[in-house]
Amino acid sequence: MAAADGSWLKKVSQADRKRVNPYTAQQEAADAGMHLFHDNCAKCHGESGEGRYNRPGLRNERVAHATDGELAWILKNGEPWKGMPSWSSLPEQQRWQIITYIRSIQTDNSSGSASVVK
Amino acid sequence: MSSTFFKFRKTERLVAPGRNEDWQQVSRRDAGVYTALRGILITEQPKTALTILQEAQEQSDAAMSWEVPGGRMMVDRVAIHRTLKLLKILPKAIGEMSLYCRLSGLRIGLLATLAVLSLASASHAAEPPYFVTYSSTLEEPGNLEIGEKGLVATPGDKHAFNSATLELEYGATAYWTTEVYLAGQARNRDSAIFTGFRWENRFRPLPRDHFINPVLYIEYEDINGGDRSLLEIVGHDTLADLQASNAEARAEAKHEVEGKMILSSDFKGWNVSENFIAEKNLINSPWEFGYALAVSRPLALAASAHNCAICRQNFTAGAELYGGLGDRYSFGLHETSHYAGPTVQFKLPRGPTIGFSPQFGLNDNSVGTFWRFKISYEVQQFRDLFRGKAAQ
Repeated sequence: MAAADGSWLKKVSQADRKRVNPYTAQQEAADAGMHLFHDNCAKCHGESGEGRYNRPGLRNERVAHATDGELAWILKNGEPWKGMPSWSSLPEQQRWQIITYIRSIQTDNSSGSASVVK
Repeated sequence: MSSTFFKFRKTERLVAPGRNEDWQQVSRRDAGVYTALRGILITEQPKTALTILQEAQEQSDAAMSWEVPGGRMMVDRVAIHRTLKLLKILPKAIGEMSLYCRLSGLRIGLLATLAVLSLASASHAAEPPYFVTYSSTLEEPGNLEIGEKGLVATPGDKHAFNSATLELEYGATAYWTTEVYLAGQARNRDSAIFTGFRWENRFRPLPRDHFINPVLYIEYEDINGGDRSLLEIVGHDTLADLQASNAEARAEAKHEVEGKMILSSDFKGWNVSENFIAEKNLINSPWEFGYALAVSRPLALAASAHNCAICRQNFTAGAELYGGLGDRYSFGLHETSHYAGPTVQFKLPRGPTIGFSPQFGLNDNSVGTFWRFKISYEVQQFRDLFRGKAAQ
């Protein structure tokens, strides 16, 4: 369920994989991403990215090792047949801000904060 | 048999003259009788009418009747009893409030419900601020959106109407959204009526995001001619269709299927959507066609780092253009109506979404101005409410 098997990673093109997050390691972007995450993503992925019910968490090796471009790809395209909707209606800037926040919680064990990894 | 006479407004005449002696035919029109009696109560002499009905119920006779233009109208005891019951449930709403206020009261109730819901759960709606046009944005799987779409207009020199449509939208999967509409309207110095329901389904057939994203739309409508929700304009829908009294309009049954090809693009924060509409009344009518085009953009593309409600990214502005394209036998712009106008939407973080749009008629067949507004609230992961904590 919910693109949790990581099979979507094989669908990402090289060009998309190499895309760079313009907000990398920016605290303000992580803070903005935190609000966006709580508004849009937390009901499925958990308030601090721990996952809910059978929907995958975001604090795991797969997400940690995915490139920013790969995360941007799954946010834009989704994996509709496996439960992950497309978020292309969110402006691209806001999707990058969410990715910045997701990066910040990879190593941060306290829920809800947004400390960037530099 | 009791005979009670009083003035009956011509616009509220529901039973055809000449059928007044046919007991069974009148009895089967209970719903119409309710509306007629309610109309009398509101617009004529409320206390007198109520007294007359109560007296009629107390009498042992099986029916009452009154004069209408062209004959007499007969109502059986069951209809009177049901009408009285209805009136007792809603005494203030029917006896005292104006037509406009009654629908406004419904909205206040809905707002209160949304306010309560907003305390219980987070919410979000990423949909563009359109009233008629659909974009490729579907409801997120498991989310339930409760909304109300309102429309106020004065068609030509006729009575103003106020339409209210309750919307329940559920994300069945990430590629399928299903939605039910319940519609009603009130016409000034006329009556308030329920006009029917719609069930629509939207499917996103392609698994990837493309420059133009198609969505297939199919809908079944069981409405009557009194419907004023105007969720689409098709065929030769014109000003005249909106000028009929509720009594006349509701007599027209519409069992329709409607299909739309929705095309939508998101590019640098802009959303551009195009809808091509085909609709058919299953009661021996030709296919009718219409279109809707819209464009919108949030006032800010990047979100603020602050947790603010009145931030620019929470406002979206745009414009909409829609109208009819005739039918199978007379395709084109001849005798069709068209509307355009700006639209704005405010999305309160973890709260309701509010939208407003004045839309202006573009030709003589169109109503001068539609005032549209909507409020919606998204209950995120509604299905989780039915799951035990152990499953979490």
